Amino acid sequence: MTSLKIVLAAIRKRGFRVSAQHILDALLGALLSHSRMVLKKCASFPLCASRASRNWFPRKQRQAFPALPVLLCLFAALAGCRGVSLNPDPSADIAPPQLFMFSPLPAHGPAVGITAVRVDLGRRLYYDTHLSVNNSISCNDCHQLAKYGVDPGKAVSEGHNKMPGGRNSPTVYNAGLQFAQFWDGRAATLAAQASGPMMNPVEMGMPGPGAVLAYIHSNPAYLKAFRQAYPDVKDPVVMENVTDAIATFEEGLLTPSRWDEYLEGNTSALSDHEKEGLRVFLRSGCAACHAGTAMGGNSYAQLGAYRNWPDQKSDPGRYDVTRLPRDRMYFKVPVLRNVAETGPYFHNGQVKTLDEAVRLMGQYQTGEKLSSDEVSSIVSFLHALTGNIPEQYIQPPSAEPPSKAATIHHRQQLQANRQTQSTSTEGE
Amino acid sequence: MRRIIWIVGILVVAFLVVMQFRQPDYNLSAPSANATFAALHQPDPDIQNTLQRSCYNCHSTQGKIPWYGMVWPTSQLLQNDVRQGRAMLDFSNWDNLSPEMARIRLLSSCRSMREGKMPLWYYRPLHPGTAPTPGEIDAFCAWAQALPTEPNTAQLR
Repeated sequence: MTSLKIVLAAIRKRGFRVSAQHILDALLGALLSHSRMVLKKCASFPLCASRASRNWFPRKQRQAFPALPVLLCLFAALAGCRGVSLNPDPSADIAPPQLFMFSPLPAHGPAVGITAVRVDLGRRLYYDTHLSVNNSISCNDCHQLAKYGVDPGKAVSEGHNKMPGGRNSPTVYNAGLQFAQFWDGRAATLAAQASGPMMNPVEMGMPGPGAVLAYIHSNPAYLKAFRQAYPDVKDPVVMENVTDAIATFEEGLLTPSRWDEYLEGNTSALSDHEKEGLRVFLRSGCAACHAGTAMGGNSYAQLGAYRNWPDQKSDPGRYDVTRLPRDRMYFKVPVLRNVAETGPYFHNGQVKTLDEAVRLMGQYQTGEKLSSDEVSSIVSFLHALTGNIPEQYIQPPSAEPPSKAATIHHRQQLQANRQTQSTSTEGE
Repeated sequence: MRRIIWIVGILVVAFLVVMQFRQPDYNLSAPSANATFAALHQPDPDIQNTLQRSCYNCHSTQGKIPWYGMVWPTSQLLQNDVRQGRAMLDFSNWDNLSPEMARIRLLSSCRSMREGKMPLWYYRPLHPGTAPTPGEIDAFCAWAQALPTEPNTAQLR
C-alpha cells in the first residue's frame, strides 16, 4: 500500500491526474492488451459480464475462452472497480454510421417575399412590451434573444406583476424543430404556443385576445404592417395572424454550431475531449432521447424513467394536459442545442450546473452512474452544441412608440376587458 | 464452529425470506389501443411477430415475467433491466415519439440486433428460440429503412 502511494505521488509530481483506479485500469488494460476497454458497474455483475463479452473481445477470442469476461468481472468486482474508461486514442473520430441518429440544422437562408414581411412583423411583436397588461414585459423578457433565448440564471421567470411562472423558460432558439411546444407539449406548433404567455395571468397577463387586437388596432404602424404581411384577407388583424407572425419570426431562430460542421464531415470541428464526450454520450444512452436535428424536442419521456424521480408531487408534467395516468411525470425531452447557455436546468430550473444535470440524467434516466471524468467529458461535448446567435436577425426594430392617444385607448380597453381574465396559471 | 455455520445459515435464509416481501414492480399494464407501435405503424404481421417474440418482454408493458423475476435478488436485477430497456425503447407507448424519433429508435434497434447486442447475451439462453434470425433482422431493417423521413409534427392526444 505504501509503495503504491509513493508511485502515485511520483506520477502526480509530473503533473498527471492519477488515482489508484487509473493504475488498476492500466494494469487490466495491459493484461488484456485491448485498447477500448470499458469497465463499468462491476457491482452489478451480469451487466458487466454482458458488456465484457459484447464489447471487449473479438468473436474468436470469445469462443475460445467463454469464461474470460466472467473471470474478468469477478476480478474487477473484487478489486472494487467503480466506473472507469480507458481510451488511449481520444482523437479517434466517431464512425458516421454511429451518428445516423443526428442531423445538422436545415439550411436557412434569409427570408424573402411575404415571409420576410411576416418575419419583420413577428420580430416587432416579439419585442413589444405593449402585449403585456401593464406594458412591462415582452416575449424577450423571459426568452432573451441575446442570451440564447432564456431568462439566464432564473429557475422560473417573473411575469408582469413579478409573480413567478410555473416552469423554467425554455429556449426559443431552435424551438421550431420540436414536435410540440411547452414542457408538457400542450401546444402543437410555435403559433399555438405564442398566444399562451400573452394571456397567461402570471406572465404577460392580457385579459384576452380582444385586448391584444385592440392594441394593434390602435397603432397605425401595426395596421399597415399587418396589411402588408397578410394582404389577401380583408381583416388581417386577427389573433391567428398575430401568432403566425411571431411563429414565422421564431422559425428563423436557428443556431448553427461546430456540431453541425462535424456532422457535415469536418472531423476537426470537435476537440479530442469533445469527441471523447460524444463517445461517452453515445455509450451512456443519452442519445436514446437526445437525438435528431435538435438533439431532443422530439419525444416525451418519463422524468425518472430508470429510477423514480424524488419529487413526484409538485409537477406531474404531461398528466396536466392529458389526465392520463400513464402520462404522470412525462415531459417533453428538451433540446440540447445551446444547453451550456440555457441553465438552470430541468422543468423547474432546480439544477444550476450542467455537470449536475448530466449526472442526474445518468442516474435517473439511463441507469448509468457516471464518473466525474465521464460527466466532464459529456459536458465538454455539450459545449460544442453552443451555436452562433444570429445577431442581425434578432436586431430589435427601431422604437416606434404608439401615439399617446393610442396608448390611452389601449389602457381603457384593458380595463374594460379585465373582468374576463382567464384562470389558467401555468408559466412558460 | 458448526454452531456458527448454522446461525449464519439461518440468518441468510431469514434475510432472503424477508427480502421476498419486497415485491418487484414491473409496471405492467394493457397499453391503450391507439398508442402502440403496432397501431401507429401497422408493420407486416411477420415483423410485428418477430418484435413481439424477441423484444416485448423488456421493451413493452406487456412482457411476461418469469418466476425468478419475482424472487429477490434476481427480481431486482430484472427490474433494473426492464426499466432501462423501456426507457430506451417502449413499444407500448409509441405515441410519445415524433416520426423523427420513431425512425431513429427503429434504426437503432436494427443496429443493435445486427451487432448482436440485442437480445442481451444472458437473455438468449434463458429464453431459447426467441432471438430473431438473421433473415428476420434483415426484414425488419429493410422495413425500418423504408420509413419516410417526415419533419417533426405533433402527436396530440
